[in-house]
Amino acid sequence: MMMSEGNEETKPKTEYTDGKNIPNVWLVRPCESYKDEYTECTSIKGRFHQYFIYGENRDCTQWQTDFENCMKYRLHNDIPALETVIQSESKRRYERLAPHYLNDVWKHRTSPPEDWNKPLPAKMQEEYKNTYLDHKAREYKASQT
Amino acid sequence: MADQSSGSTPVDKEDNWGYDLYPERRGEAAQAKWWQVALFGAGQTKTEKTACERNVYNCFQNSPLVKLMYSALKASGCEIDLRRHIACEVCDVKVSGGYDPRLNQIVICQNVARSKGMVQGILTHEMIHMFDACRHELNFKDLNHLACTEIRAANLTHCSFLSAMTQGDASFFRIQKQHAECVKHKALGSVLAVRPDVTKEEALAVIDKVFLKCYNDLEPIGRRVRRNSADMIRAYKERGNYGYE
Repeated sequence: MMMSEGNEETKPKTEYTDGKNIPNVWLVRPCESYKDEYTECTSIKGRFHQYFIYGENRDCTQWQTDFENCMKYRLHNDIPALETVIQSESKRRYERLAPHYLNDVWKHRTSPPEDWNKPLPAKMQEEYKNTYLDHKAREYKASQT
Repeated sequence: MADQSSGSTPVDKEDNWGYDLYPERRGEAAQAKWWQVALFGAGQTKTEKTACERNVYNCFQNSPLVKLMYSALKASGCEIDLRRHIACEVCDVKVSGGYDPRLNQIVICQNVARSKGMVQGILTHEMIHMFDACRHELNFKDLNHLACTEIRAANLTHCSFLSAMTQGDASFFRIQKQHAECVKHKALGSVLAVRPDVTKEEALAVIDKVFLKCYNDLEPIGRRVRRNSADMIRAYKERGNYGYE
């Protein structure tokens, strides 16, 4: 399953010669991240965590597949392999975000609340002058300009 | 609430929802009794406050979860200002922190949360409420909304196996899928603390109603981190793939 087919006809056709130009290539992580996730997923502590949450072991093989394809691109400039990783990340992204957008307990906002930064009561502002966080907040604002 | 005698404070008035646990929010300065000062070194409020503020700043610099929440909020248009949106205060010992939706501020209880670890947990939990308030029409007076945001916060920041055991939701013989039970239990506690006018049965009914949708909404952390693992760092590193950079 991990080996790519030797037969040319089953290899996905690709028009890209430079991996950097493929759409959504930014989704691909450093290959080591995939290996790290696979190790965590198959570890004893990781398996216990899965059992505690899902009642069963999760399928970890996709991490290993992504790692191998990622390395194929890194070592041999295997563009179809890179495209496979991009597809895998897109699927992962969709599966993670779907429950968030389907959560209709509340209505989604189109813009943040207008009063997010509304001024605090004057007494509070006075108390906050010269506090540690006051200094740090100013420091941060100054570093942004 | 244990410190309220019946009839003295009408619990059906919205104004009282939880605010008695945070006396400094109502303008009362914290007063230590003489024996508290003598026996427990209480009353060192200013030192305590600065120590708390240092822990807060430390978390924003070093904690992957807090940094992730900060990035997610900023990317959603709700950047956190350390001075405006966070307050260290003396509170009732029953609570360790909270979120004040009226002023849009996180409260860290300086007299309870004394370690970086505790402050990290409180910040992450409350920032999830902020995230929900930023991205959705969140009405804290709506029980469904309150239950949902508390389920999400418990889901993402609490309920390791050990904390579930302490709470009584899991044991060495009852492990399978007990995480969800722990989350329900924790969310119930949070809802009842803020809404003394709601019965346990009512709260449980609402929690059950919204549970599936809210339990599976893992944004912006994206996973239920395993305590003492690199999961927090993994969640932080992958934030760019989900729009939080």
